[in-house]
Amino acid sequence: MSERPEHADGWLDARTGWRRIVRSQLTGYLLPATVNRWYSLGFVLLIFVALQFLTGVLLLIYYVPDARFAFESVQSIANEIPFGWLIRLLHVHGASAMVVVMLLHMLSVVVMGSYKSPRELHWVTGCLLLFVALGLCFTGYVLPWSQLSFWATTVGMNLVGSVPGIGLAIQKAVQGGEVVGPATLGRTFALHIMVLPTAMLALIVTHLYLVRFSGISAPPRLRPVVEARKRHFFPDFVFEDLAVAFSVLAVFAAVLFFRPHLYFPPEAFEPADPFVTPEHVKPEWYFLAPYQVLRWIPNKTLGIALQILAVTAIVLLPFLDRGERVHILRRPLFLASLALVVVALVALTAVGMQ
Amino acid sequence: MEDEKRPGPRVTRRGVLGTGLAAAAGCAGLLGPGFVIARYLAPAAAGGAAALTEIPLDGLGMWQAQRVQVRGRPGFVVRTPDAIVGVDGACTHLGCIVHWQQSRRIFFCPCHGGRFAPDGRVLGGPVPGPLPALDVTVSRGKVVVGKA
Amino acid sequence: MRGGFVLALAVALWWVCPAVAAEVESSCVSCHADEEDEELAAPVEEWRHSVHAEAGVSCDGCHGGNPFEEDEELSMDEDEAGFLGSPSWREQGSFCGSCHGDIRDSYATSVMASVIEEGETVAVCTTCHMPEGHDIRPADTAEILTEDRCSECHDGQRAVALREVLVDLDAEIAHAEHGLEALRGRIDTSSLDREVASLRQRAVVIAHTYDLERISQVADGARARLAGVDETTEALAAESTFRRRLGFGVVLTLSLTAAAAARWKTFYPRRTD
Repeated sequence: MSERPEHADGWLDARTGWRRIVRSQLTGYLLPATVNRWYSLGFVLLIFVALQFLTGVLLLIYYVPDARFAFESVQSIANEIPFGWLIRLLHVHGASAMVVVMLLHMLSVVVMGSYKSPRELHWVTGCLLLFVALGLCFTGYVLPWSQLSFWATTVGMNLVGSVPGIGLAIQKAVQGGEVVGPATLGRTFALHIMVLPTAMLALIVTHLYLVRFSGISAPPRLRPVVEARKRHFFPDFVFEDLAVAFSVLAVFAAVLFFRPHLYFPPEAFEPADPFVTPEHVKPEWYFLAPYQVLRWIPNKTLGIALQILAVTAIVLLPFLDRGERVHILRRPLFLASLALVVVALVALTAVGMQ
Repeated sequence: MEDEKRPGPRVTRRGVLGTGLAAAAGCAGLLGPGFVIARYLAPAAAGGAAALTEIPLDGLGMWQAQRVQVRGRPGFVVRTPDAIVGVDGACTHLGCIVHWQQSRRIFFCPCHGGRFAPDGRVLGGPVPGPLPALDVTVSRGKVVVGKA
Repeated sequence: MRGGFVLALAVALWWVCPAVAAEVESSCVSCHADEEDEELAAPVEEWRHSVHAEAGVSCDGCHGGNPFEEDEELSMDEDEAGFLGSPSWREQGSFCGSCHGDIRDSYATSVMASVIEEGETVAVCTTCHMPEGHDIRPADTAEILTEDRCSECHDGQRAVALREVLVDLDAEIAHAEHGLEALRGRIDTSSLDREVASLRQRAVVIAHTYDLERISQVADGARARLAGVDETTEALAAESTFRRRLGFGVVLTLSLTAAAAARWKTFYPRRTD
């Protein structure tokens, strides 16, 4: 150490230990060589979260969280402020893209059995992250104060209200009254801007800590082999992560630029009117499956209870499924039920879209 | 400290060239989003704020001042025996809006005691320079402040 | 494995439970469709092709009655079910006007409405809009204001003059709508959509005064506003083209970056260890 001249980075290192961090987290961080591209989805998600934070802050500069001005301020962002349309579309499309990538991330974890011991908490924090993301989507839906916002929120809040026990109290607390109205905007704004993003950051930190603590899982093999070979996180996996991330971003940009109004039915362009319900009130696509189930099950409380049961089962998956076998082809019953769940969700969403 | 003595990565010409190219591409990639954000944030050109302000002449007595707004900035018009003068209202020290004190015939800054003559000249206090003058024209009984 | 069972159970419940809520068909439709008498049966089939069927306005929307009542007598009881039957031609204004109020009011100011009170036979709603049957469609001015139809009572040239103004205006509005339609889904046209829709509505309403002078006046005003709409539409089209070009650039750049990142070994300094 004493032979080396005191460079600026040496000075900084002596005070922060950044070289050790780089070694332990990047250049010296070794991963199983078999880790595949599906593992990059976590990195992609971090990019989308960053995009939501950045565009969210930019929108916040011109957005007015007051029922009298909210619609107008969003219209002005979309139509008048230079590149406001782009910032807004990035935020709107980014929200859906985040949910899509989250679901793919979960699917890959389920298929590869990565949620199994000792990674149960990874799965649980991941599920909580999905719920927080959906909460962000739902509260973000309210803010433009369009007909779409108003009525999708009304329907959503009434669903929350029919949760047995605590539902009604939550509904009234978030609504700020008996029905959705100007008071709702302030509350959902606070949730969307402070509460849920903070929760999301805390959960992400926990999730990443857990991943580093236990080490990343390796994809299961049909025949057990000794996996001695390791690869460096930097540069090997960083560049592979970037390749996947930019591919996903390219698809995302294609959708954004060439189907800009994918998430905007005509009601999104009408200011909220508490006295006129538009003809087709539908939740956003990620809520269509549960929405469709509720439409089919004649008893609302039963429908909600069933959904809570299903969601709880999903969150507790690693504790319910404790079998030794990891490879999905060695678990035909699990594979069958997984396929059934995926097909059911896709089918319900498709039916709900009509 | 053992691993610090390891030979570092061998530097090849292709490697240097490639890293440089990647870095250049990275910087170029940041330019686009940077431009978009800069345009998005650029404040709207004084939209809605009038460039010209008119006040009736007969409402302005001798040694009286009237507050005006020119291009969204506060200013004052004062009638003196010689002329009708206009000055920007923001003290050149730290930007507080000066008060017109009719009894002393000065502009007084409430923040740090800067004092200005009706035409903006510095009379005292910690101010670095005079209040900028505004264009004032009088026509048909009206005082017009600002340039068209 | 137990997790699998729970999931399978949950999904099975999701799948099996759907209670099929068949839509209850109106008893007017179900009975009249089977009527022997062609005059009572025909309206059902005609109505199915009408704009009213598309908008979800069924028989009871105009004729009253209770479509949920199976009993023939009760379903068409004037007191119990609020049955209105068919209006006399003098009652048509209030009959159709219960929904089309603005057109009723406009018609009420026309010469036709003034002489109807004196017992003259004039053109009413059905004369033009329901000449054949219940398959009422949005009207095409050129087909409605024909010399034949109007010359039954009027000087045919008057109809021709009216038609000319209205057809011209119609074409200009259609042109504006067409321009906006091309941008649909690409850029926000909602404020222009609203403006054009209000112009069309105003044109339709004013047409029912049959007052050439007033109609021409409104048409001139509408033309001035349509010119503004066309100008804004062109600006939006240019903006939309810019956005698509920007999109091409962004997608291309991201794809190339992805490809470069995938081939990172070709430019990254090789390790010696």
